[in-house]
Amino acid sequence: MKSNFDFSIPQRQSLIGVVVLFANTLQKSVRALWPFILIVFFKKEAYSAIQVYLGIAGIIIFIAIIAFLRYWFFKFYIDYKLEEFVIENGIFNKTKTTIPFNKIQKVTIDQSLIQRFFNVHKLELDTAGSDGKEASINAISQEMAVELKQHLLENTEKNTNSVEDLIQEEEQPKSFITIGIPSLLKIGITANYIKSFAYIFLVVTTISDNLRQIGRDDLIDDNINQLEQIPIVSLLLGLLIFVFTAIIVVNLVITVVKYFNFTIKKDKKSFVLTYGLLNIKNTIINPEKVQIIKLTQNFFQKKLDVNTVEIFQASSEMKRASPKDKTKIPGCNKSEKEQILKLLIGKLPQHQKTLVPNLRKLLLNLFFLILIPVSIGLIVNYNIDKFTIYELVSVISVYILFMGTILYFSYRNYRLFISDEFIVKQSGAWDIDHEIMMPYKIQAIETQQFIWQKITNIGSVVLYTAGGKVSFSTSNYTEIKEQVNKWLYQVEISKENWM
Amino acid sequence: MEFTNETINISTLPKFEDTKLEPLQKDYFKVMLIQFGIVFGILLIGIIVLYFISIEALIKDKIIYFVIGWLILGVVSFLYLKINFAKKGFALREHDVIFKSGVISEITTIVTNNRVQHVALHQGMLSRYFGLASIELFTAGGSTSDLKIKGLLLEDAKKIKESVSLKINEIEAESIKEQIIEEQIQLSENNLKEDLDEI
Repeated sequence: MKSNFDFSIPQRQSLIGVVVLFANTLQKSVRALWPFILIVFFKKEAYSAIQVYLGIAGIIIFIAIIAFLRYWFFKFYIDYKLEEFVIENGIFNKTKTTIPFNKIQKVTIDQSLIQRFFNVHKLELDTAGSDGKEASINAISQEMAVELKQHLLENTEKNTNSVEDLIQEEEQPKSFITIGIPSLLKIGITANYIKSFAYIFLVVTTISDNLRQIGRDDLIDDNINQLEQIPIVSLLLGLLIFVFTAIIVVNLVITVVKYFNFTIKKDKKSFVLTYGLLNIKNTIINPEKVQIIKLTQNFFQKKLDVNTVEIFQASSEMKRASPKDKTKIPGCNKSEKEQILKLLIGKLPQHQKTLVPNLRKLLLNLFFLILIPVSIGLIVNYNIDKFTIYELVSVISVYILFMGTILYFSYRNYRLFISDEFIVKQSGAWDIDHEIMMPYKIQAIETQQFIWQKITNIGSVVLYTAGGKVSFSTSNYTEIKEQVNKWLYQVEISKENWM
Repeated sequence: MEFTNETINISTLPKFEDTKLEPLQKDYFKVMLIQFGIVFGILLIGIIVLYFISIEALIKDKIIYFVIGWLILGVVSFLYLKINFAKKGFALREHDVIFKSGVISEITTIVTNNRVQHVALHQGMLSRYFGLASIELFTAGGSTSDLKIKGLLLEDAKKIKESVSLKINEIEAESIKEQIIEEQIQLSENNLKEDLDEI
C-alpha cells in the first residue's frame, strides 16, 4: 500500500481544523457563559461602540488563541514497536492516551455540519471494555483519515484471530434505516410538550432572575404594566397561544438539532446509530444486551404514523441497570418500527393472554386524585372564603373532567399482554407506552399483596431485568401467580445468554 | 442443537405459592428484641432526663403523657415485630430461592439460581453471639431486587452460599465451554474458507 503519511512520527490535525476547534470552543464558551453575556448586554450603563467592539474582538482573539494552542498541542502517532495508537493533547495539563491495537474494536469516520463545511473529518476509535469512546480526532483531511483507518485496522488484524470480523469491518456497513426531516418534524410537533415547557420555564426564570440581579427589573415591570392594560380574556388567550407556539418551536429545534440525519447501520451482530447536527453521536446497540424495548405513540403520532422507540441495554461494566444505557430512536414509521423490532428480538411480539387491572385500580385513583384534592380545596375555601361558588364550581368541574379523563384512559390502557416468548406492558393515558421484554431476561420476580387485597384476590408483580423493571399492579392474583410460575420455569430452563 | 418448542402446560408447573416456607431461627427474634429494647431504653432515658432537667412546670405536668405515648408505641412496635417475625419465611428450591415478608404488604421475592451474580454472607455482632448470619443474593436487576435473608443459622447460611455459588460456577463453566466450541467451529470454518480460496 502506498503511503502519503508516516504515522510513526507525531502528526497534527489539518490546519483548517483550527477553525473547527475555534467553532467548538466558541460554542462551549457561549453555552457556559450565556447568563453573563446577557448581563453585559442589558447592563444599565451604556458602553460606547468602541468598547463593545473591542470587547468582542478581545474575546474572539482569546478563543482563537486557545483553539490554535489546542490544535498545536494535539498530536497523534502510531507506535509500531509497542503496537499502540497514541494521542497527546492538552495546553497546560498534558494528557497521553494510548490504545493498544488489540483493544481497537471499530474505527469510524464521520462529519458534522461544521466539519462538512470545512471538508475535514472526525475519526473515532471504539475500544473493548468500556462503552465510551476512548479517542477521537476532530479535524483531519479525508485522505489522512482513510489511511489512518487502514493502518490501524491492518495492524489490528495481525493481533486478533477473528480475521473475518475485520474483513466485514472493511466493507462499508450498509445503512438500513434513515430517519428524515419529515419524521423528525412530526415528532417535534407531537411529543415532549411537558419537557419543552419545563425548558422554556427554566430559560424565562433564569433571564428574569439575571435581569433582576443587575437591577433591570424595570424591563419586566414595564412589560407587565403594558400587559395589564389588555383585557383579561385576550391576555390569557394570547399567553396560551404564545406558550403553545414557543413549546412547538423549541420542540422542533431540539428534536432536529439532536437527531438530525439519524441513521441505523448494521454492523456484524450489532447496530450503530449515528445522529446529530452539531455534535455527531455514535451509539452501539448489541441485541443480546437489550433488556427492554419501549414503544411510545400518542393519538396524533398514530395519525401521522410515527413512533418513538427506546432501547434499554444492560450495562456492560457493572452488569447493573443504569439509565445511561437508554437509547432513543425518534420518529420511525410502522414498517421501520417493525424492522427494528425484528432486528432486536427476532420477531414481532404476539399475545396469547391478557391481564387486566381490577376496577378497584380506577376507583382508588379516583379517590386519591379527585375526591381527596377536591374535598381539601372545598374545606380550605370554606375557611378562607376567597372564591365565589360560581368560580369554585367551574374550576372543580374542569379539574374533574380533565383528571377523570386521564385516569379513565390510563385505566383502560393498562394491560399486560403475555405470550410464551414475550411480555408486553401497555400503559399511559395520552402517550401510550408498550414495554416489551422477554421472559428469559428476567433477573428476579417480586409479587406483592396488601392484606386487605386477600379477600378480593388482587395483587401486583414486579419483573426485574438488567435494564430496568416492569411492574403490573392491582390485577387478579391467581392469574399473576400462574404466570410467575411459568416465567420462573422459563428462566430456569433457559440456556440463552441474557446479555 | 435439538430444538423443541412445546406449549407449556401452566397447571402442571410447580407452584411457588404452595412451597412450604421455613421460618427464621427463633434466636433471631431475640436479636430483634434486644435491638428493640435498646431503642426504647434510650427513648425512656430521654424522657427521664427531660423530667429532671426541665425547669418549666408545664413539661413536668405533662410528662405522664410522654410515658403513656412511650408505652403505646412500645406495645404497638412489639406486636408489629412479633407479627413481622412470624410472617417472614424462606424456601430453597432446586432452581430458586424464595423469600416472603411483610405485615401489611406481603412481598414474595424469587431469585433463580442461574441469575445470581454473587453471594454475600453477613454477620453482625449480636448475630455472631447467637451463631446467626444473613445471606444476600445479588442479581443484575439492581439493588431493589437483591434478596436478603436475615436470621439463618451460620451453617445453613454457609450451605446456601456454597450451593448457590456452585451453581453459578457450573453455569459459567458451561457457557465457557459453549464459547470454546463456538470459537472452534468458527476457526474450522475459517480454515475451510481458506482451503477453498486456495483451490
